[in-house]
Amino acid sequence: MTVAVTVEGVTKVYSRGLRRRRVTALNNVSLSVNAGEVFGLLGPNGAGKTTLVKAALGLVKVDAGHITLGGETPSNPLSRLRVGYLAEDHRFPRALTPLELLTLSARLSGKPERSIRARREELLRQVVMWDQADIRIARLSKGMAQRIGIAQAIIHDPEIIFLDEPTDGVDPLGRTLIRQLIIELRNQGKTVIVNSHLLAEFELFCDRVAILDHGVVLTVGRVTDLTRSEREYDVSGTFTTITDNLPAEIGRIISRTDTGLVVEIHSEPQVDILTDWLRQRNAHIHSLTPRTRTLESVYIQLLRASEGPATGREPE
Amino acid sequence: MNISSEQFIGILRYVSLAIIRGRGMYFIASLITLVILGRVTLEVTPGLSESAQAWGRAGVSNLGSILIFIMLFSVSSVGPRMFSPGAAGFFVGKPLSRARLLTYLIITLNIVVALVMIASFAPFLAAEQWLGAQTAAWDDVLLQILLEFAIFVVYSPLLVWLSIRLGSGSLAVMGCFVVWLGAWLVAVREPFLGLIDNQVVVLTLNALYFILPKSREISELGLAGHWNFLPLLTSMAFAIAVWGIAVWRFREREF
Repeated sequence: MTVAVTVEGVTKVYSRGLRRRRVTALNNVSLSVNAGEVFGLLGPNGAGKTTLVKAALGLVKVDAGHITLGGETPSNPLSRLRVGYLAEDHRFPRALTPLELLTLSARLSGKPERSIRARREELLRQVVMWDQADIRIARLSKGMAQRIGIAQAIIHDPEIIFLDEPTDGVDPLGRTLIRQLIIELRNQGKTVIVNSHLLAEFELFCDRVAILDHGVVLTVGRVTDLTRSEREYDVSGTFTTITDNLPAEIGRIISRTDTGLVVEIHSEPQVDILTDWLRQRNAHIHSLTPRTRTLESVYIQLLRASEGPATGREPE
Repeated sequence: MNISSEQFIGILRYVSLAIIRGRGMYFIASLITLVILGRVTLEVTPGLSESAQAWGRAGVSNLGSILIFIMLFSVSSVGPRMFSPGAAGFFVGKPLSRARLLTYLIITLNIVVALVMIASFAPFLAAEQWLGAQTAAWDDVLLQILLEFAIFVVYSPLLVWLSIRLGSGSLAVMGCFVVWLGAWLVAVREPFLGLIDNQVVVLTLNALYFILPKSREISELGLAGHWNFLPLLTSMAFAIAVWGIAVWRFREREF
């Protein structure tokens, strides 16, 4: 699988205030994003998500480690030729209209106006902003500006797209639109890297996520793997013969009906022991599936486990 | 057309729209009109004494000095708007080196101001052709406005650098005014040098004269047929040095 973005041992320390207080925004971060996947960066405020995106785009310089975008380092401006970016706290030129902004964005990426005329209209229609195409950005609402922001990030048909809080300030309808757009980009084979606080959305469109806290990667993995419980199982079948409790060395039965059990075991290999125990009691097992957790519960669990001495949360 | 040309045109168009929609150009155009009309009125009004003409010319010349700051003020907000937190990602996150981005900004600001000046002057030039060259005032005014534009060109890298560094167009214009005032004081230092005992101060003032832009000498260029281009060249050297420092600092900056 082709790797679109690699981050190896990246450390970034900011010096803040008159006393030059040092705040570690990224601490030896390593991860890679495969081409064609939607990758989510998760973490609380100050976890270092935005700093990581800015470092990949060359907006901030790293103190150690290195990043590559399609094989090029961020110090080479051409590494951003096939990259689109929506900043978290964006403030687009207020004097421009959405049409002019999209044209400017394309031109700065080396695309002439004539080559993007059709795409410009298509994108503005897609984000339901065509009717406002000639209104100055200064007069648009936050949600509208956000939708324009996504359109400008992809106007030049980039291969890698960074979206920092793309649904921030957007109404539910707008969120659905943005979500559909991200899924469409993935279907087109684009690599999308998304920062967001809205964990429920990550579950809907991310292939893999990285959870960061205090500038450290707590975990990286597929959403399906992270949300799959290794200890709790749903067992369906006929369990009228099960009257006793599961031995404590195997685990415990959390809930039971005649046709289903929810069982917690101590470790994954004990699944075999569990099935043997059930069969010995003449139970008919139709299925045994790991219970899925929400990404939010995984996220909170990991953050709680990582809680350590506070290092300051300013750099985001 | 290659990528660089597209990027340059993109920034030129953005800067034009930002200045035109920011209404700065109307101030420039109004002041140019005032300078032209003032100068021509002096020429064509019959019966004006020599002293009245001299006062009038001084007034028009001072309007010219104000024009430089009106030009600086009109374009001063473009840099901070482009590189303020939140806005910078849009420009710096593009496949364009920072050195090139800053250089394009400085060049396009100068082009847009030049275009505004040409557009403001053109109707009067056409009027002159239509009326016939009845007076030499046109040439004087054209030269004066050209020289004021040259001073603007000299100060533009300083303005852009200060406006980005300080995040404020107004503070940047004030910074330019301080340099302009300093340069003016250094230019008229001769009578005061005899009063200064300290050789270090004298040497510093003399050195500053060669370093700072020479707005006063540039605005007097061509006066009474006197053409000395050295002040213009050393002032341009100042502008290039400031541009170099600005690019170096801008490349190091984090957004």
